[in-house]
Amino acid sequence: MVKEKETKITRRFFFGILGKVSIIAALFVEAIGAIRAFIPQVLYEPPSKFKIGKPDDFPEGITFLPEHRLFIFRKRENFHTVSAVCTHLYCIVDWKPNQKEFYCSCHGSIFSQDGINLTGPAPKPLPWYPLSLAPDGNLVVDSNEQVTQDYKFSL
Amino acid sequence: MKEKFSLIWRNLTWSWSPRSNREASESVVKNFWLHWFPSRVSFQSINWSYSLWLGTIAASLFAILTITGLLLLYFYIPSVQNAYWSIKDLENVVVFGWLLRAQHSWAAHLMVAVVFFHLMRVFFTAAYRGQRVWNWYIGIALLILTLFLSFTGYILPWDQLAYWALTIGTGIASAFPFLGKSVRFLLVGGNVLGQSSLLRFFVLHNFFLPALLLFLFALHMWRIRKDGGLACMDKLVHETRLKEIPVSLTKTYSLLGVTEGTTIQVETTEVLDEGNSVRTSPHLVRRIALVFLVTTIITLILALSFPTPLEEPANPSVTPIPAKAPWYFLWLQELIAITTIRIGKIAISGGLIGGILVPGFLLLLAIVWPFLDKSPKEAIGVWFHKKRKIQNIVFIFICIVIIILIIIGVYLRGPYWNFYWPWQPWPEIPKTF
Amino acid sequence: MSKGKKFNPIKDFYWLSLFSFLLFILVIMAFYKEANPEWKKYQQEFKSYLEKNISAESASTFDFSVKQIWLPELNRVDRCISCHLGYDQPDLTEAPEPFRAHPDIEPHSVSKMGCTICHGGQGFALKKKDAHGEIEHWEEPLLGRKLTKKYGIKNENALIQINCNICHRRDEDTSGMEMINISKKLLTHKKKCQTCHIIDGKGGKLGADLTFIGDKPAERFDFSRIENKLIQMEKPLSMLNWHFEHFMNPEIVVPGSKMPYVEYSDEEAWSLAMLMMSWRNVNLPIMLMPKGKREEIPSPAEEVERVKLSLVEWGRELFESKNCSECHTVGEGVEIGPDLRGITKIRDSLWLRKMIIDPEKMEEIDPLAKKLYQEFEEVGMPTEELTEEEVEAIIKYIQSFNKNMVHLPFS
Repeated sequence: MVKEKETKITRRFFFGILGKVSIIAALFVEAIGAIRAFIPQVLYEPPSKFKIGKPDDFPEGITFLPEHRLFIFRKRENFHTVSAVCTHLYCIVDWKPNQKEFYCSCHGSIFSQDGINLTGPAPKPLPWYPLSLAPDGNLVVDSNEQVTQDYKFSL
Repeated sequence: MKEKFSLIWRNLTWSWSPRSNREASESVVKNFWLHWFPSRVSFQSINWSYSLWLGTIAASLFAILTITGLLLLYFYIPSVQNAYWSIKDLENVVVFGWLLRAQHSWAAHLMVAVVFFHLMRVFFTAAYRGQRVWNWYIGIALLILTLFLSFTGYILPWDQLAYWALTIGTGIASAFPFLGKSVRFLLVGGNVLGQSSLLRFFVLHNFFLPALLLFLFALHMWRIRKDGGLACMDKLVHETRLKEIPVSLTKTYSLLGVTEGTTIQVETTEVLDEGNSVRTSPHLVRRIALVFLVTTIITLILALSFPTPLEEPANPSVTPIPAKAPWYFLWLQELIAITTIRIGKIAISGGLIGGILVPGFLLLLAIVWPFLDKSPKEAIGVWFHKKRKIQNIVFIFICIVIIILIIIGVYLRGPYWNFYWPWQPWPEIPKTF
Repeated sequence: MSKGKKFNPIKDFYWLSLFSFLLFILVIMAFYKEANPEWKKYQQEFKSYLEKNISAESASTFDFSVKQIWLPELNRVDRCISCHLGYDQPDLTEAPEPFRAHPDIEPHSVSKMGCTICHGGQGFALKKKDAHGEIEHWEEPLLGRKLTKKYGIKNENALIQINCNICHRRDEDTSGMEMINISKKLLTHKKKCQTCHIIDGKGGKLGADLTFIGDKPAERFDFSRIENKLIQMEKPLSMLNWHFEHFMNPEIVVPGSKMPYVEYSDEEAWSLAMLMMSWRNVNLPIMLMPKGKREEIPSPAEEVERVKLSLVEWGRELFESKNCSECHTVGEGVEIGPDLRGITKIRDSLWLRKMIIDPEKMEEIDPLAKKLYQEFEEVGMPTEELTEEEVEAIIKYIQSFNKNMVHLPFS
């Protein structure tokens, strides 16, 4: 037997639904807001796409930029970058000019001049990042993208 | 569908649904609401106009302060170099940071006001009489804690207001006879205000004072139960006794059946029935939810409408002109300014008289008042009972004096604490540019 | 007394429902406010400007976000670039503000120094009014044209030079700081300030110590004698105005002052006032310290080039003036004497120098010189008075012809 009162939308029913839906929606939106507050809008860090200076500031050969954890290689007008962050657990690798290799002091990984992981626990080669030229003449490194070992940026 | 929802609701509000009388009585202990609240409350207790629900509003404000405060804790930096910077970042770059801060600030101001109004209501309804005097004392302690929480809170941005309020506050502490200087040394963490002071006040504001407040709040609630509910219950019990309705012989609630007699808590549960009370769940719970909701809405509207003030970064070499405490301390500041007594060569600092003696006297008055109150029992739980006329007048007088002092402090005091009528312009304060 | 009306929960129910809805609306309003900050509008405008005037590609790579320059060494963060978006793009020099590129300020740079250290304002802020410091409780407004106009100073770019001088205080004369240079000149010619005021640790005690006078809070200045004048002229009671009035007429501002009255022009008085405001104690990281006036030191390569070049020039001049060219050519065949092209590669360098310095003696004692004497029909090489440097110059001149030569075997 169908009770008519159950299917009729009474004032009480409407306000009941309005109240419950509103509260749940409000709480849900507030929760999103609270979580969103924790995602920082600005970072007190060097940005992931950054300027490293004018091309003429770099000598031939290899330059280490400690604040960006990056090695810049220059051969005349050709540039490429090799990240100094070990792919194992993110320590900073050292360049050994005699062996022409990168050594990681944390767990003993060794990388070739091109960043290829030769020995040790590092699972992947050191990433290379692409370069570009900003309108004001500075070189820009984009650490959001990775390029292969045959990459070079020419002026 | 409807059944599913009501099933979920029952599972949320009931630990389990009792299937026997014994289980029903066990549910009192196992259900949070029944543990906190009695199973029935009188019509008058739940009435808006009796208590004005000020206590609930204050508790809601505290909940809002705790939630916004915990979120703010992730962004605030308690270091002298970075505190101001972190507040600016909250205002500018933290998503909803401005809202969190604004709501926190408004809830704090409202809580001080509401707690004081709650005290006034309790006084006017003589709800501090008899065994309720202990709850009155817990309430006084809660009032003082609220004021301290507010004070320690506005120290944290380390702006000009914070720095100089701390200077004056610790100055008042040092005016305390004998122990004063040592108390100040401990509060400041040294002789000069600095990083150690900020850190101490940070920990006080975020841990010790809220923990103490929560503990006393729980005690405050427990006392309500032990005292048989709100003071208006006394009347109900009294009337029932007059009618000589016997209390149930099977209920004693005594300890292992060893003690004799009955308590007010038992009597009030006996007295409540369908004719004069409602079930706590859902009626009281719904009202509490409503009060919490409206309090949230009010703080949200205020937060959306007004920016939160922040002064210049703290500068130890410049005292702002004028240097004013927040409104709830302005009556004290006014007192401190005007109560320095000079008799011949002897001068007693206003810091001692206005800052310690007068508030100390008021506190003492609050402590002994329940014993000075000789009004009859019919006056308990009633607003402005005629037998309490004189007391009420004295109390109102004290409140009015405090409010007048606050108004003077806010609107009529200008640079160098000189008196200015509202239409008199203040002298321009020099700026850099 | 009555027990009160019978309890009716239905009202609570409706209120609860309505207020829940109100809460939802307010929460949505809060989200809306957060999602539409002032800076986003400027960034949207910028993106469409890029699309129309630069390239679709530059517009598509533009991302909407708060942008900031964080300078931990200077303990500041500048978010001006969230609206002043074209600061580092040289092809936006003609763009409308706030998108215009920053003019070239070498050796300063926006990325190393931020904005507020020169321009003033509030770096933290993301709203225009707050960021430009035009609010209460921020003592450093933007030192721009608006403020300069308010003070009635003719030179539009005057006030920013106050901040320039905080770092460039020790320079005597800095290009770009014309306004401040005026007062510095006055100071160097009239060192009498130190008679009464201590500046940099030296001076008299009659007046205030001026070394870091810019840090003195405005509230500590005595405005009592100029208050009415300033209020009447609708000028603010500011430290800058105090200094101006004080320089224009010391006795009026500070009664009993022994500071001599000097008739300064408006410009001079403003310059002096600005100089006072700039004398502040600031922690400057070494990398930002001005390099001071020094000769431009050329790089090693440049230096060598320069030296060589001048020697060659000199050498050529000597070659003509000392009459070597009478008998010798360099690369144009034999005249009276041998062609000197490549001579430095054929002859031993010491022999060559001896030959140039004292050829007559060489012709007497040196076998090779004697041989040449014979070869060249016994016309001897006259001795000229030459210093060692002159000899070097001549040799360098001769050598300068070597570049085009193929290496010849030693003969």
